[in-house]
Amino acid sequence: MAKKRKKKRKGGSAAARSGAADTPAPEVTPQASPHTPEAPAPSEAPRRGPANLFIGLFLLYSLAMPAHYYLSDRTMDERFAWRMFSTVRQHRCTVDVTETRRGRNFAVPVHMQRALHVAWIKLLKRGRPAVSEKFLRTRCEAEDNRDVTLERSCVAPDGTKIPTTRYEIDCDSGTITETREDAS
Amino acid sequence: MKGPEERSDDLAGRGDPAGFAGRGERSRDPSPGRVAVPTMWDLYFHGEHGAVRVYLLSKLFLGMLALDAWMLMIGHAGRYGAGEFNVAHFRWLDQLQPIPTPGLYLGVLLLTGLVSLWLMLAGARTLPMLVLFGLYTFSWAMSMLDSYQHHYFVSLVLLCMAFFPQASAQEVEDSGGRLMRSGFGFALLGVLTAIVYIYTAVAKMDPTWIDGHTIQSIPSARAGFADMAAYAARWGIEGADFWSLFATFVIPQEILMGVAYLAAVKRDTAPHWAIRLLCVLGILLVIMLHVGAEHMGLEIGWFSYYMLAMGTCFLLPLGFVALLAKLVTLPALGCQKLVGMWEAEPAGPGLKLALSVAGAGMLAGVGHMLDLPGALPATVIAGAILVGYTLLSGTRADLADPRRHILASTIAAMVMWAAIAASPARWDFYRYVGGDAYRRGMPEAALSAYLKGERYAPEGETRIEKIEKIKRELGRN
Repeated sequence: MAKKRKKKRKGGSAAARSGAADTPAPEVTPQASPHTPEAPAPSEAPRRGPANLFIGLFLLYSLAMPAHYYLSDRTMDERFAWRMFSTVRQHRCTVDVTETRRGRNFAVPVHMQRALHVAWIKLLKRGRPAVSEKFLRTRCEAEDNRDVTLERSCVAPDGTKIPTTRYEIDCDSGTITETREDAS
Repeated sequence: MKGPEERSDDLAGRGDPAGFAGRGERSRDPSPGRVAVPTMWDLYFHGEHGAVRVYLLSKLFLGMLALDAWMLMIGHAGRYGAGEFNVAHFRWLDQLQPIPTPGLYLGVLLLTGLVSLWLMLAGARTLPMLVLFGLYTFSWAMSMLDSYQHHYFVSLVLLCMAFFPQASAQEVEDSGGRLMRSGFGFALLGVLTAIVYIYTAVAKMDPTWIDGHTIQSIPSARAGFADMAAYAARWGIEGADFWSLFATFVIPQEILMGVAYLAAVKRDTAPHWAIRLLCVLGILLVIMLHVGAEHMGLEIGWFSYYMLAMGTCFLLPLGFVALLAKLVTLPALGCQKLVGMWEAEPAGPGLKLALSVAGAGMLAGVGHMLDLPGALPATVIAGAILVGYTLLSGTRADLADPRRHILASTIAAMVMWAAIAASPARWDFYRYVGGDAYRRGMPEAALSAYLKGERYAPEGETRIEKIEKIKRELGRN
């Protein structure tokens, strides 16, 4: 996703660099502007090439970013989906994190408010995959942990229980496994 | 479907809406005698539109953006870097940037506001608009702490605005608001807005939304429309049925608004009755949706106001937009006259440099007075750019007289100070920092932040009890 965005921005910059030449030429009024050269070029089509390329890339990006969300199964990450009044956001969720230190056989709960700013806890509750992943890795780096587990349980606005999602990281290998447990 | 030649004749008859002809010429392709036929794409994206629409929208949007950055966004800066944890919106950005701090976030926001207001006052050009786009985008992209979708939308709007055509207040005023310009930014913004509205409608095609559960689970929505629900009940539409109907209505509403934006792009050059009707319907629905959202008290910042400003500039008739623009053009013309008189007086490079150094000093002074992390570096950077521009303008004839930019940035700095001083932004910043530090077991840092925040506490607000409590915990009493 990030790569895509980067590419489009490059497209934008290219259009910008071409400056006045990108823009349609003549005006109905005599005033000249940086976008509107006074005299039309012999041929307009080639001069609009970079602008048209930029428009095309911009539109493609604008359509593809939300479409990517709706066509994928990662419904928790709604950032670029134009999902206002999101149903997902109305889920009431709790997050519990436990970690097991090396040489111990029992897991201890992480004091979330001590570990993170409350705004990040909200994002964990919303199920942002990138935040969950980063937090698990941070706990591995910060403490002498063998593994860390994050459990997210939610209830939908209509009262339906959403299956609990469980992320577990093996701190030695850095592998994260995601499992869903049936709420019933 | 008409043939190419017929379409070409139509264009000439309509005053060449695609902007293909200039000074009475018709655009020609390299082969002599053959007329280049504009495609539908060219007609749509490179055609003309009322210059007053983009003029007014630029002024409104840039002004609102500056105030939004200073008065609303900076209150949350204390979250940045707390616990040395951060996730940027893009993985590659995480690799490039350090963990954002309140100073970095605030600095970027203050600069964003300064550039925005400076562009509003001095006139927006493509390159500085792209700089503004970069600054603003970085402000939210540096961390998922800012996950407001409307900030992402504002970034895309700024990118479109970078390709708006230029029109001065004088040109707009002289033409009585009838000046036409072409530039693909306007059409692109229209299409972007349509895409956004249509996707928001698609997102609502979900059983939980249509059943009305989602909207009912927003307490402010229930409270905001309780009267309407009670009125509907008198007509036999009770409880769940009302909320289901209410929620379902939003779907066609948003689709229609999207279609209206697509049509509005051609409103000034293809005044077909259907386009006019769609635009009238569109503006009514825009008002209904966004005033409704404000009524619900949703935490969406100034999104509704941005969208109302866009609806006004896109969907209203040109004459009406021109009338509204007078509110901007009249003071702008007065200022331009004064600036023109000032610039007419000869000034040597030494005087200009002295003025720019004074302007930079003023910016730094404001930065110091703001008493926020990152404010001084941000204003020093702005001042350095101002001095740099003045030095450069002494060697390059194509650069404008720096005096108008010195004046614009000085005004922008004063407005920044006034906006921040008048808003609870600093109070919010320090009390949030204090609250978070206390929760994370750092009472010293919490006390320091709370004490600073008290200086900026709005009337009736205080954290004095909390301060006393922390002092007791620290054995300071």
